[in-house]
Amino acid sequence: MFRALIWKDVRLNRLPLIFAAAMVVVSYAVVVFQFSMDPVVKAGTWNRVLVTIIFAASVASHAVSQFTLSVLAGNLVASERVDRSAEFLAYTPASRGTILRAKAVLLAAVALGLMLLHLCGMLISLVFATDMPKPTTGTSTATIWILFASITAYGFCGAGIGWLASCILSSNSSAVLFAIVTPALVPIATILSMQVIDRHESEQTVRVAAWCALGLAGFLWGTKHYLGRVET
Amino acid sequence: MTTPPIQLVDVTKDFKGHRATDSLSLEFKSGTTVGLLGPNGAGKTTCLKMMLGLLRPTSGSISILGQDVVSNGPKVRQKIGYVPEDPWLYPWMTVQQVVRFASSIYESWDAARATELLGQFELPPDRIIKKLSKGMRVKAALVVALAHRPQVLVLDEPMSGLDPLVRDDLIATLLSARAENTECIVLSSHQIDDVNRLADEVAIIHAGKLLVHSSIDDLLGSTKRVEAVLLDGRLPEKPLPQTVWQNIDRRNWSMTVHPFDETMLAALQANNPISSARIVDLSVEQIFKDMIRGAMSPCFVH
Amino acid sequence: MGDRMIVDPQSPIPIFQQVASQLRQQIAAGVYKPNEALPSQRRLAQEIHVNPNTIQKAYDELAREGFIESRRGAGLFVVDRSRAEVAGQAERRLGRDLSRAIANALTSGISPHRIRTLFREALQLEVASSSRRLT
Repeated sequence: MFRALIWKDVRLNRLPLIFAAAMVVVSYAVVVFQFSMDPVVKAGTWNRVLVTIIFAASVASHAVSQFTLSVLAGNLVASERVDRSAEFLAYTPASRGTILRAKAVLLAAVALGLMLLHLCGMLISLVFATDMPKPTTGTSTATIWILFASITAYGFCGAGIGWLASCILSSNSSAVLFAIVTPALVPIATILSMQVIDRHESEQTVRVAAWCALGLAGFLWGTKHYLGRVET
Repeated sequence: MTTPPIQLVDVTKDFKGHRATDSLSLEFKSGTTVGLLGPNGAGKTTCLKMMLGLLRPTSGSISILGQDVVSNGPKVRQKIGYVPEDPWLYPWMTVQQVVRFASSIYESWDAARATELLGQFELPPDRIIKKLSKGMRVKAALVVALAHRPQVLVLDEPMSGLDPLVRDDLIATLLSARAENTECIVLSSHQIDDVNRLADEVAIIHAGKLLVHSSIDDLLGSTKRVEAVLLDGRLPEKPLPQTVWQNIDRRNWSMTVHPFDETMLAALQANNPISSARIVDLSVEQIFKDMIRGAMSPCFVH
Repeated sequence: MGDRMIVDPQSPIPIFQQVASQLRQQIAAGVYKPNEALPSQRRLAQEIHVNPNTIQKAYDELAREGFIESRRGAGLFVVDRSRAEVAGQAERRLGRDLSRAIANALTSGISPHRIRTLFREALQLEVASSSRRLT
């Protein structure tokens, strides 16, 4: 039963999945194009050029992927209400827990897959980049990992809010909209509140914490709502 | 005594601001087909959805094949075939894909039966559901509902909006389902003629309350119209307590009585200013109409 | 549908009785001869689109009246003496229908004398038309 549900969810989310794959390809392509135009990069060794490009492209693609996760999460549940198939699914013997688990597995697989892909790109670059002073202009490795972590937190927030909105709403497009807008609003909120209490140094930490908390809350609340909901 | 396949005990379902079913108790026996009749908004669909565990009753309990639906929903649904009023399945799947999907959801799926039904209904396997006509969609949903050889079959208005030929097809299929291992079929319908052909029993509900549950033959035998003629300028004095609906138009006093027996005629004549009274047989449809009219407003005097 | 017999779900007469009375007529008319099998309950149900339990009820009634009997494993068969039986049954039913019609007529204020005249006229009309049908 579970395999059939996964198959159904993959088919159901064909467009967001194609979109996700396309965004990865486009990110890499854009970065390669940009760097190939850059005379500084071109002047370097072949190895250095390649490593720089893979690294930058992985970070860029990782950032862009967070939007596609929002789109996927927002689409997962609500899209079945739009075409009324949620009703059909409700009267089959598939339990709501199993139905939701299949969706969670799909979302987690895509998120982890993308993260691993980008992580591998970055790690490979760092391994081969030993002969270089720094990967990019003066940025420390620590700063890069913090950037990577906050991008991931951003995506987690988008996915969690998308999950919640998708579980509650009957329209997948508004669920996707919520999922995209909410994490983008967090920095505005944290910067404003930091100014109010007049502390700036820890803004990034607070922001990442807020993203994680919102994402987690979204997943928990959404799941709870879905399990208790009646599809009619 | 074996447990009845479908049992509702005191089932009340409240939605925001209105009561869909009102302490409804029903028991459907093994080997029967039951027609659930009622006007729009009587609570038929709510009742059927509760039988599937799709809606939770506000109070009361429902057991299907001896199991409580609320606590064993998925397990019970393995044994129920259901066709909603306007089935959409997965609109983007092809007929074949829906069948394959359903085959892995239902444990007792019978692939040969599914193929047989697809052929019998002449459903194009590669057509997507969205592109099918209403009749075809109902048939596709019926394939899903029957191919796992359910013990209980629940159909919500299966004939509504279908042309007579498709209806004939469905009736024939439902009759053959009866001959298999399906223990109990419940169908709600407006088409009283179809119910009369298919069902052994009818349950008439109005405003969430059960008006009558009886075998069709008993209902026809025990429900009669009495046409009486009132004396000049007089009104009825003591109507029969079993009157479910009555109408007075000049000297003509019509009443539908349930349960009726012929001895009541003497009592009616003795206690009321009437010159004559005769008994008229009623069809299922007339009985249905009179019961609903009577439940809405017990007496009309012109 | 409806080739073998016609069922009217809008009639006040229960469907099993409609089926039973048509079977009785068909037996009397020789559609089914003595020692011939009747269609199986399931087949007839499918054919005339009626619940199989209803057919069973009709068959039970005919068996009770002695028109048909079940032979183990072989189905339901028309009994030898069934044509005489049909006539007897028809007579009893006619008696019942007549008394109900007469009772209705009397409550409507028609005199017994007038009823007798009307009955004689109706009978003559029917006999004439049925002999015309046969020639």
